[in-house]
Amino acid sequence: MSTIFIIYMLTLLFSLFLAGLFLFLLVRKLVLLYVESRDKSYEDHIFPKLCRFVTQEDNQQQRLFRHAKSWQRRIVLRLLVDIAANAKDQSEWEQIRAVCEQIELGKRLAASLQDKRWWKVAEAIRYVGILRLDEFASIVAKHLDAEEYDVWTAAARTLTRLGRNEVLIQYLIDHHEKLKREAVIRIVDMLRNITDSDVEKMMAHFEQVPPLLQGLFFDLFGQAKAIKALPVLEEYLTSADGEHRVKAMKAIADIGITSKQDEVLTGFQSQNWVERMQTIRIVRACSMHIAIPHLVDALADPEWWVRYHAAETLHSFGTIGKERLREARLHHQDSYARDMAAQILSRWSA
Amino acid sequence: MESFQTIFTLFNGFIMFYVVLINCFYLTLFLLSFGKIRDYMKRSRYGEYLEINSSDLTPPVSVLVPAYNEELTLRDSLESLLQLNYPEYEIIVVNDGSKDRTLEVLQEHFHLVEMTQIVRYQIPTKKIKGLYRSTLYPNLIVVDKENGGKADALNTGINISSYPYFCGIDADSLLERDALIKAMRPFVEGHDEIVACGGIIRIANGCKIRNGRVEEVNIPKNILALHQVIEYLRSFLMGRIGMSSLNSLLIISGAFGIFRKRDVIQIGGYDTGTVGEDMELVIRLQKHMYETKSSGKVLFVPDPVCWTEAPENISVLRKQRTRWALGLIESMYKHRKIIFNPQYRTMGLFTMPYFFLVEMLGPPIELLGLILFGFGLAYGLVSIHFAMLFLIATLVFGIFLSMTAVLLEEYSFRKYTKVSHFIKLFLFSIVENFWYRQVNAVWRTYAFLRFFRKDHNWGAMERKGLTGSNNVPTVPKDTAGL
Repeated sequence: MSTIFIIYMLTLLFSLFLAGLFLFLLVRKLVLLYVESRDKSYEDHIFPKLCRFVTQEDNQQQRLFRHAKSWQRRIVLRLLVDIAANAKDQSEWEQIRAVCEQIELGKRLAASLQDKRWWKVAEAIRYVGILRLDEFASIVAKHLDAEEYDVWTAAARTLTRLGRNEVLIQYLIDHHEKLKREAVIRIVDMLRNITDSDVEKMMAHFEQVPPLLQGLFFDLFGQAKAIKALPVLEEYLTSADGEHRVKAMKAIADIGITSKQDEVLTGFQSQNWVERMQTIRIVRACSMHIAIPHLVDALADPEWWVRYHAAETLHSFGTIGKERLREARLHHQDSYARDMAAQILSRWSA
Repeated sequence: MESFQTIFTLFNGFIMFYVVLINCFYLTLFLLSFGKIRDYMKRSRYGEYLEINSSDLTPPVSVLVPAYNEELTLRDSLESLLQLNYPEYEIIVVNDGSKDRTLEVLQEHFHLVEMTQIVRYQIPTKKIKGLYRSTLYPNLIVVDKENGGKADALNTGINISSYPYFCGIDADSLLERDALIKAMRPFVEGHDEIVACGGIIRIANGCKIRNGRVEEVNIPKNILALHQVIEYLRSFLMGRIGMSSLNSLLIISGAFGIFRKRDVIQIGGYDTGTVGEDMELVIRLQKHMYETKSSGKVLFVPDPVCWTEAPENISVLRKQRTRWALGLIESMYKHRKIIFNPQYRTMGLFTMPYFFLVEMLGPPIELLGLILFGFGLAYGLVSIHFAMLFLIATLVFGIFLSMTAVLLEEYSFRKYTKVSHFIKLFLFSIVENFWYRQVNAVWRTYAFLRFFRKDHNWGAMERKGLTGSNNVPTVPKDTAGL
């Protein structure tokens, strides 16, 4: 009897809990829908005014947000994030900053950056970056040491947005030993639009950093088309370290200039197919017509990617390259070479 | 008579114990997934995934679309795939010997030209009849091959693919624009070594779809499809997230899953001898990782959405569910040595036993329990009072579990925005406990008969087309395809 009573009571309690849960979810849904609709109508009302203020079409809105409620400020902030993505010049940024002051964003961000909840910190860091609030750069830089992935990646991203690439480069140089490989790659990946002084900094510390970081620096030189780094890169064309050779080749191909054509051409003899492929990339990027006989030979390479790039490069060399490709399609000794030449020619003719 | 009553009582006790065990499993999964989903929501709110789109480190992906008699749905599906927000990807449609106009529709719509390419058969497959590339979309490749089933079509796609990761998609599914980038995020961020990752599948029936995109999310009008909405929510938001948090996910839906190609090739690709090739592949991958002491992980990410067409016809649904159950039984049988094997840790001691005891044996035990319950009542072997109370308690807990799906959805993505949606979902999460669950149990029990009869046919899926513009469904007679 007692077991039945317990089951009975548990069932009753559980049923009540379910009813309560339903009511709670229903009320929550209704509240959320109301909040969404209220936010939407305020957003529709304020967005044009905000745009006009930021673009300086209407400067009469100085006190527009001074007495805004907390939920209204939240919406203004959200809209500012969208507007900031399309901000064109310094004057627009100044207007954005003026709105930030009106909604007292600085105080809130300063508090959030000290918060113990990582998601609050990550959110604040994100706003600092998007709204280019440079005054928080040093606090943000401290968060590079955060444990939480989202926090330190947000910090790195924000520093690049603030144009503080040098802080990140210095951080990598100083902390490469304790950083995980993935973290180093991730940070380097965020370094966009590096300047000449960044390149100089990387070159100055090049010998102090480990091979992984050196390789990543090569990638950055390539992406930035840093002609200044060309001598270092060309030096590594004859390096004993295969990985460095490949990275240097890739960077040279990205830059599209080389003064060491003979060294480049030796890459066709490499045992490593990646090196042979990168050699072809350099040949194409630097329009090295001198390499046409090597490219014809490379059509018979055992590796598909090398054959493919050789054929594509020949095709990119205009009339003479296409002529060689047509010859290869008909008369090359190797059937794979004939096949690849035919494939590229047919693709381009289609 | 007395000994019979003792056996009956013992069996009743076993059923009670089993019900409690199942509910404990579900409750554990719910609690795990609730915590995980909250964490995920914070991450997705504050993290920025769009930079992945411009990162050089984002690996290119081959999207594989096996197609068998998909002339009605494939165009919409490809249109959604061609709009994906991802820096570099190729789409490989594998026409698995379709008997309808699948290839012709593709040729007409995407202007295909035949191309020559030497295929390296890293995984043995049926013969390829032709390779085509679209002149409108250079990243669209179509492979025409002899019929060999979905697994064989996927293996062919893997052989053709150029990129280090592949994403398997069902031809009747639509991917949201950011689905691929969100699903690839764990691979790119590199917290862990990710080997495979699955996204959520949602029901597209009732939704407003235009140009391969879901424009307005709605609840289906069809009752069967509505039940499936709740079922999918529960399965993905509770089951998969819970299992994923234990790093013991055993299913990545064939409708949307990303895999690291080299690992799949290493274990021999999809098994063509089973109808549950998606689950079987993940079990083999997990097993391989345990055996090689790899730190690789299989993940589930709840945000990337793949919309799919759910059956609205009971006979098609029956075939689908029987096939899924058959796939589960085959996978459990094939990998029976893992179950309760401590060598495979969580997988051997929790996940595989869960699938074996709850997912596989659950339906026949539930049916047996119901039959014995009726028998006991008829012959006065159980107290009516106790039996009714036990039944109600089970139902109430069942309703709670059904409601968890709605609860998790409301706490996370809230795709169903209207109050009427919420009330309908809530009502149907109660209703499903009175007929849908039991009918499913019958179908899943029937799968055992098919397993013992060695009947491994796929069964036909009736297609209406996701836009609903094609009202005349074709029902393929041949059942050897997808």
